Amino acid sequence: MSAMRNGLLRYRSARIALAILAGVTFLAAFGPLIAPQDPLAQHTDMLLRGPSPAHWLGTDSLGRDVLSRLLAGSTVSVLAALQSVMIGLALGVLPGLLSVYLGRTFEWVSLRFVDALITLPFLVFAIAMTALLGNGLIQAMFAVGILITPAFYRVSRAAALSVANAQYVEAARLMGASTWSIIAWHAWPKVLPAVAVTTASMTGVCLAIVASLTFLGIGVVPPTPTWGGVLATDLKTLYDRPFGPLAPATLIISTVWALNALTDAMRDAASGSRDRV
Amino acid sequence: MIGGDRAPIGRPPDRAAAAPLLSVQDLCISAGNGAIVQGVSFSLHAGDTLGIVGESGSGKSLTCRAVLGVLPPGLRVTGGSIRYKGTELVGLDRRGWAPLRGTSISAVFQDPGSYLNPSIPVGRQLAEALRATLRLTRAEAYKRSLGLLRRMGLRDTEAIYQQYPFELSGGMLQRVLIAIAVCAGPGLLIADEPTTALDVTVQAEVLDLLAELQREQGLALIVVSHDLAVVAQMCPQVIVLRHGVILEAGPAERVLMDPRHDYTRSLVESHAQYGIERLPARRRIADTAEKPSSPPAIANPPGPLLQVRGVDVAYGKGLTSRRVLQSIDLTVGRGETVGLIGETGSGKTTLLRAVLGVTPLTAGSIRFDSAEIGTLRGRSLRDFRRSGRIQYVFQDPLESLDPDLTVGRSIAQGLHIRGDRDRAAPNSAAMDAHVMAALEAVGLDADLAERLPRELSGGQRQRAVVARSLVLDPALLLLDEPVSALDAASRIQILQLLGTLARERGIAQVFVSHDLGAVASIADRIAVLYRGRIVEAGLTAHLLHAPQHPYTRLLIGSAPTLTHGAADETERHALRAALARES
Repeated sequence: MSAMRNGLLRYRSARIALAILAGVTFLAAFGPLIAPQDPLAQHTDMLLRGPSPAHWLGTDSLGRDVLSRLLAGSTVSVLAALQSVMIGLALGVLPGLLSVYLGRTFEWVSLRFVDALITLPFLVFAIAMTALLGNGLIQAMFAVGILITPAFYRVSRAAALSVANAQYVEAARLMGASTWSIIAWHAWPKVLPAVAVTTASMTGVCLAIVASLTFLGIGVVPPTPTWGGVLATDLKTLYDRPFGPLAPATLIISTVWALNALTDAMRDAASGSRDRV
Repeated sequence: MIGGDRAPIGRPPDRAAAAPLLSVQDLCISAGNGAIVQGVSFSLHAGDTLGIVGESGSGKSLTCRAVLGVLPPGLRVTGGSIRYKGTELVGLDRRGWAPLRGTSISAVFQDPGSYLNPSIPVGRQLAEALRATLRLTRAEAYKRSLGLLRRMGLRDTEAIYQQYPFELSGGMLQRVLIAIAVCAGPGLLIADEPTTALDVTVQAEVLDLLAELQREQGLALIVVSHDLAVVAQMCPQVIVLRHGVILEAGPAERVLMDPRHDYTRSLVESHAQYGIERLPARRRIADTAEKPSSPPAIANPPGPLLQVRGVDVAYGKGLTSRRVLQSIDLTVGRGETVGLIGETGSGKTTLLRAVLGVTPLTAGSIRFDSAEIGTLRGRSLRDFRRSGRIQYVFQDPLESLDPDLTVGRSIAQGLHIRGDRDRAAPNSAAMDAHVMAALEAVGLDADLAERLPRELSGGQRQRAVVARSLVLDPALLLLDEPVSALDAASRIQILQLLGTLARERGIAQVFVSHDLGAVASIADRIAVLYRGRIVEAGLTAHLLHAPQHPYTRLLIGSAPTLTHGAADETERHALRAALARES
């Protein structure tokens, strides 16, 4: 893995992406603390103002400071995306790996289950889940997490399959290795890089979904600030503040782009290191 | 004229004066900054055959690829000229190549399967080639294809026309590829290791075919091979390449019988030591057939280690079942090396896998150290494997080592696996000591333990694989074509290593190979496997001196040597007929 990370820095897009992601991580951790004003405080005397020294990104239709709302909303947006990815990782990777080793029955059942999950659309399913379990971002992203499980399952299964019939695995079996020992020695190291790539790309997907859901007003109770929520309020007052959506949109787009660029670079670095014989 | 400044040898003056068909002058090929081929010159007239020999990486294949105009990306011709019938080929663009490649200049390569599309019947691929080069109609191309396939010595051509590559044997595929290569009547055919992937009996036939085609069509032929005997049989003229430079060039007899350069001499010597040259019976196959000698006396080895008795193995069930092994009897004594020889599909590997408990037996028994192991299943089989008494060495060391594990980790794996069971796992220092001892035993430096397999040479990798077996202190090594994937130099080193292990550690070995020379140089006894049966077995010297079974005689007769080509066609045909009568 360390070799892979060293290889990553050779790519300029990866360096830029890592810088952006470091910034986003900082925002997610400390955003609410460094927000210059209370994100919920309404200044009814100054509605829909443009940028000024007091309000760098202006104010919204209720007179709330947009910069503070974006900073304060970072934590919720990023954590919600990570929550789904963690659920996908937890439910997808191990079954994918084991589907190669635990025999036909488990393989068949898990494959059919995953096939069924693939047919469900993200947003509709997430909205249905909030209707069922109560309106909350955690419920919605739990649903999304289950829906991205197939991506992790497929990737780890493919990586495990690629080594399942390798001669060195047979050599280990001929030395009396157990299935667990073969997974630990040979399969897991091959699965890990593939899963890392999927994790990065799925985080991007989930961030976009969080933004979409909160944009639609699902999962968050109104005063709570989120990136998608800020974008939605800014869009409503587009006529008064035409530049308004620019800030939240830039934040969402650059984070998703950074994750995609990182994904590509990781993939290139992984295949490149294998080619360098 | 070969080597640029050398006088033409053995060719009538009028032909030497005529312009050559192919003339390569001072060819240089570079990758980025380093030159890979430097100043290579040779020329060929119609009907000439030139042999190019050299170890892997000597630039022999690159030179051929340059003549074909298909250098790998990153490499380019940086100097010299290649002229075919007066046309300069260096720097020719796609349009310029179109009328030449595949039509006037064509090639066959080592691994025929990878040059055919797996999803199209072979006949259609041949017909496509005909239609592309000769502009024939579909019907004409079909008729011509059948004729060509027949000419290539294939029978039942209509059926073969419809078959996919995976349905044909390596020898048949190579014939199809040769048909595609010669279908447009080229002036120059390049054969790059054309028989390296083939069994020796098939090799003899393919080489005969190439020689016939050359005579018929007046082709100029370039044969690239690491096998000196193949070159000696096929080529009147030889050049020896090393590190991209011509070391020696001239008539094959002179170069191979009386080499002037030290490197050529070492090539010839190692060939003589580990090749089939040691077989005194080579030219007396026909004689032995007539005088029945005493039945081969098999010395009873003291203390049998492995006893295979009446083993049958069948794949599939009911009507579709196919018997792969039939009543096999084989005994390996302690410290004894038994060679197991046979063609592709004869059941050699299946027999090893049966001993390892991978392939279940249909009948018979396998005893190891007086304990029955043929019926072991599940936990008892795993426990037996963890004892490490029997170890298996694969053909291709690159594939049998995990690319992500250092060599040291790979070697230690067996110790870890064994430690899983008895909990008395050796501590890591003791384990390291074991790994180091194993590395030393196979002659690898201790610091190679930290390297990844891809950072080692082919020979070093195979040593590492042997070290992985040794660390478990085995009594029996099963070696499945352990030197077939290696170049000549590492082949000899591995054979020497195996010999040392047998002598100094008393490790018994079963050495499986289709390469008679390798087996002859290492085995105490040889068993010949043909179509799932052991048709002949005996002490190495005895078996090679007086082979009885027609297949053994065919096998020994098919292998060319430096001084003699393979036994002639009529002789081989007679033996094949005898074989056909038996089965």
